[in-house]
Amino acid sequence: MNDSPVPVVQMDRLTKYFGSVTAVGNVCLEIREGEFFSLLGPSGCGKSTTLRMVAGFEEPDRGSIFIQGADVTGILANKRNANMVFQNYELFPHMTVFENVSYGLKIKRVPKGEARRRTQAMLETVGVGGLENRKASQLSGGQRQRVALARALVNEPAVLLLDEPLSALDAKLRKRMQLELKAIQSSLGTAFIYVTHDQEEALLMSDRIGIMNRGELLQVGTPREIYESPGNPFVADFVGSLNEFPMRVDEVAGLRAIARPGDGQRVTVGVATPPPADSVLQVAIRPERVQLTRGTAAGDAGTADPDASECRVFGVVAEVMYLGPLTHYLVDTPALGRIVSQQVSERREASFSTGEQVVLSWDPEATFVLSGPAGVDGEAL
Amino acid sequence: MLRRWSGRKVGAGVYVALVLIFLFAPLVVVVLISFNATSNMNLQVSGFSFRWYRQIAGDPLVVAAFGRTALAAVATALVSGVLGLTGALGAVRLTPRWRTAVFTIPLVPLAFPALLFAVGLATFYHAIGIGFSIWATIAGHVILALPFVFLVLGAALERFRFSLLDAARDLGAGSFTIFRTITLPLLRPAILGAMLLSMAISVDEFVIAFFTAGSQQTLPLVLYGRINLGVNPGLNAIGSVLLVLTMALAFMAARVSVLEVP
Repeated sequence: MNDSPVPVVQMDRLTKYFGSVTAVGNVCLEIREGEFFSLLGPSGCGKSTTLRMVAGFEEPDRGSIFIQGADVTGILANKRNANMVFQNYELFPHMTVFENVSYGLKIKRVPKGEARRRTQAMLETVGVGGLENRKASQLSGGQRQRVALARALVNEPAVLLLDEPLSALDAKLRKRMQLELKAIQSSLGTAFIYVTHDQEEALLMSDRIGIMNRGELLQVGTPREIYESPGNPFVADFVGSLNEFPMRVDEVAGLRAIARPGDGQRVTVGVATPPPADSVLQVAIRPERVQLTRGTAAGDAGTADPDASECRVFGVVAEVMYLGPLTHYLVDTPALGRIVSQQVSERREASFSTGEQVVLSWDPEATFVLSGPAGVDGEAL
Repeated sequence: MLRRWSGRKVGAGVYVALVLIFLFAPLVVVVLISFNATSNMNLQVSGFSFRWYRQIAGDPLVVAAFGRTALAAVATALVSGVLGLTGALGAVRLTPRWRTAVFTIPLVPLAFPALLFAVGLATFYHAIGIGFSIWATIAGHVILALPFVFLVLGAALERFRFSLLDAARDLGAGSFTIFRTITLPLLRPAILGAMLLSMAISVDEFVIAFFTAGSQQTLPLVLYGRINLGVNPGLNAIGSVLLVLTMALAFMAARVSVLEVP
């Protein structure tokens, strides 16, 4: 009847209470074959609890979990076809790397020769071949991470659950492990559910992302969908950063709301449905979408603009934050307050400097309307 | 400045030396006299000999008492080890309030005067119709050793990473396999240390044995009985055997617990 393949993991109205707090509320989610799925949210949002329920360490108070189509709700963790990589790795300190990785195979009574072969192969795959006889305490952070990964993957689970596995590593190593983890996942084709609070990490690694806050699953989508068409203000704010400002609508032209704060300035914002004039919208735009050009309020005010709806806001550079490849300009505008513009760093002579007068502009399609009069929401909201 | 500091150092050294002499001199004297060639009990040691050790080794009463002391030590260690481990593992799963209670209650006998405790135990045995024997003594020794086992294992469990058990379960292990392959190996140093400590406590215990062993005397009881019959270096030989046993057990217990590096 249904041609679509059975999802690897299916969560149906999954709910968990801790006392009177709803840790996870009515989460419905399907993880597809071979996908890298990230659960992203701030700490305490319920992402780890959701993962632990899939693993079998927490029992849901309501709802059910299916792994490869079979209902596993109420089944113990050792009887589920899912393995976990823990935040602190949890390698067995009294065992060697080899004993750690082959532990699951030994429990499942896989013949010794085959177990040895699979263990060796997996250690090679994750890049710690040759460390078989080391104790866990003799490994570096990155090596522990790889051994923990091998220990879980060697069991060939239907789904691998990862609970912030890179959070204990330093920034440089973390970046490298993100790429390697993604490469290992693609080559093995195992579905990963990856819990993280790091939005960059989630955007970089995932096929799809689920954003959680206060136990609720707010939005599920590809990294591009999540970043460019956030489904609500929380998602917009949590993934990436935002400039937010209120605007009073002076004019509506099609799906453009325009404010004219004076001196020939125009604030132009894309809307899904035209708002009434004089209504106030709460608007947001990402720093990298704010363009800067040199110019002054006085000098440009007179020049006639062929496109009367084009965005033009005047401001003065208040601070320059140089981040290497990128530069953040903090611009004080009389019309909108402080706006951050993120630019690719230029030669020093081409960069703006503190105190310089600039004109801000953006593509109206790049803005989000966070809140406004009923029925007036940004195109994606 | 330097001189004052070294003056302090010398002072500290003398102080430590005095403490050590006070602690160990009586023991050294006991051991020295046990090797005396004559039955002289003062420090004029006239020659080195194993004479007194041969004498006690040929004394059937002493040999039998030695056997009972060894039995009591091993049995106390085994019983208090099993009780302590299962109890401590159960107690850490309780809510903090109950956990504190469960870890504190076994300490009560420690605060009790040993003599009263032993008299109470003997009265209790008599009341419920259990005869005095080495087994009655062993039961008493278990009560005495259990708080120490609890303290040692409780401390080890404080540092125990229970999430390792989750990891083992995640890899497919059932409860018994987890206990056998993870819990037990990781707690082994603490368990061994606690059991050795129990043995040391049992070996030189006198009061409970005095009131409950009946005719099945342990080594400390025989030693006490012999003192009443008159003093000779043979007593020192018995004492030295007890001393070496207790110290060896205590030393091993300390070593095993300190070596607790995963």
